[in-house]
Amino acid sequence: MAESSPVLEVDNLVKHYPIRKGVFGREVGRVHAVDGVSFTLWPGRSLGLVGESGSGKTTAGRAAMRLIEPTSGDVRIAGEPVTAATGRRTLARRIAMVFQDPMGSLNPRLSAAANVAEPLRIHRIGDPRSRRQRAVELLEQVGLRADLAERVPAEFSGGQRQRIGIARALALSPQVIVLDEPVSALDVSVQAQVLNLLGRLQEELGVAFLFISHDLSVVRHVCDQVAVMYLGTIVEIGSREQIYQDPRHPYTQALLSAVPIPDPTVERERIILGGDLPNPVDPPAGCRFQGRCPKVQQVCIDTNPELVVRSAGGQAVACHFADDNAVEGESR
Amino acid sequence: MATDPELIFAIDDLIVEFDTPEGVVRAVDGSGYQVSPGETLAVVGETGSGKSVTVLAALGLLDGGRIVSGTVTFDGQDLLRMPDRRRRRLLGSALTMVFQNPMSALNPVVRIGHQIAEVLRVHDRSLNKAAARRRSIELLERVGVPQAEIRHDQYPHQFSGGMLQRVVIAMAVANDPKVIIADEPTTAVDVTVQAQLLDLLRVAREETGAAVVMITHDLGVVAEVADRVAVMYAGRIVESGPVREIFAEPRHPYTVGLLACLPRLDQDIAELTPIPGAPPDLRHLPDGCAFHPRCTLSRGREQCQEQRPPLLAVAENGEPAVASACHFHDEVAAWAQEGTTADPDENGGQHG
Repeated sequence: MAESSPVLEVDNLVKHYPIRKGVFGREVGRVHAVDGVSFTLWPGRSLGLVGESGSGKTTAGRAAMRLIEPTSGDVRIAGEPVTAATGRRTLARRIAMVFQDPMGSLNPRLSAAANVAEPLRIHRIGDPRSRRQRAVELLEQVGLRADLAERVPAEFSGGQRQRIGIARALALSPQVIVLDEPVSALDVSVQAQVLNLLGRLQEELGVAFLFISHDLSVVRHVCDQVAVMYLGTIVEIGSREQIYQDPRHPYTQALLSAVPIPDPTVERERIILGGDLPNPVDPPAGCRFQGRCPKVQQVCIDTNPELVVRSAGGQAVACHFADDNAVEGESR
Repeated sequence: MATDPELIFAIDDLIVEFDTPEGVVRAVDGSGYQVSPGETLAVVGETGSGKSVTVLAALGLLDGGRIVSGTVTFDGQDLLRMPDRRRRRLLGSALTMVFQNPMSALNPVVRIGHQIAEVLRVHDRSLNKAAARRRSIELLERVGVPQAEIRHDQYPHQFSGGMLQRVVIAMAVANDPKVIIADEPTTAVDVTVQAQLLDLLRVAREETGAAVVMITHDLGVVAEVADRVAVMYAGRIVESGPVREIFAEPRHPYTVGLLACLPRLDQDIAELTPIPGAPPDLRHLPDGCAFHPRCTLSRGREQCQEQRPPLLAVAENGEPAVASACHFHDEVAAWAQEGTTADPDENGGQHG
């Protein structure tokens, strides 16, 4: 796991959606879904992409693996640039995806084994018998007994279906798995099973995770690196310790303070933000958080703060006042 | 229990069944709880635990399904046996609800202000137009809707989800309710908006002195807002008591498991301790204790497989007491201490 070259590099990724109106489809505005997102993922590590709905975390994840074509930006997988010309087939062998709703991403008519073997079939790997054998191995690897292999998705529980989705993602031995809210649809008692499974698989296989989630407690448990997104941009990125113990962006601080902690004896200072996430259509010129920020100044309205590295540890914060924002024990 | 004047709202021994193609499903199987004025009770459970069905049935709002038995008392009146007309007048004025999806409570083609005024008129039919408008705007301001004058004349689609939930809360507190029932009120909103809404509900409770029943799957929300908690599993309450006591020393293995399997924002946990298996299929509930197939305290004991444990008070030293529906509740503390290591079966996450 001590490889020194990144497995996924995303540089200045942009995805805009034009808003068209009228019979001639005149462009009247742009939704800035993702606006200049950069991050690096290392082999065997997990990067969490957190944010609220509309923050662009899902779009960023999908654009990074070219499930949607980005407006601009560079993506490199294991050093090789990924472009529109890179075939999906080449890409699919290196990067796989696990979706929130396994019922929607599995073929309901195929057995568990056939679902898992599907990527192998598409990539013409092996013959039907060896594919089936491999599928059963993968199912066992995710904790599903071989005798369940012939059942269809509807016969499994939600947690088991997500295991099938994970087994399928592993089929082509990818270097990166993008997990988009993989445990959000599961009950907490089952969620822990799937999270432990992901941890074990990562240890065994050295696969890297891009873990997209709105749940900050889950991300803390899974990820080594965390990027906090707001309105299409990363406002803060750093190691788990940096983000959870020393958050410097006012949005990260507010977000962490808003998460309820299942312990009635914990007393916390809560930062309650006003308003909702603003509309990503033609966002404000200055800092995107200006409308909800409790510390907003004139400079925040005039200029958009760059995401700048603030510490030797590599924590980067997009706030004009990041250095003043250190708060001891804020999220503890 | 139900006649205690201290209890403003009480559900007792409610049984609710649904007819399905595969037979009768008993979604609620003898569930019940009580609340006192000014108190917040959280009812917590996973999907299919019956936490929502219990309260919908209690209020006569059940779609399909039938109440087999049980009593529901509100302010000394039997809610299940009163005429529909009378019950409907109570709902929305003295006994109000906030649901997960605010659109289910609002009419998409009627201006927000009119919908609030309608609620006000249920209580006070003599309210004239100008006065209703004034009070609606006041209410919108009270729940933190900015530019209330303008918002008053807008339609639901012009509001965000969080703002709509504020409107629903405004309607819920409009007539000084005695009980507010909130069914997953913050599940569909983002965490920063959730913080706003929970704060708003707390203020609403303080101002009206109402009892609040908060139905949620989120133990973080429970810890945050509730005075007491009732944990549901497979249609029954398996444990109830004051929040601090339940979180500090749960007396039912399911509660222990729920608390142990949560990733924490404020702690590093090397490995989560999952509850083995999955929540039961209500069509094929196990005999005895419904939790026994997943329970590592039971260890296959016959009593767990054959006898259904009643919900009984386990701690009498303080009041209100903690109640647990476990045959071996006196073993729970020691078992939880030694670690609730799950059997590494096909469903468990095995080892990390």
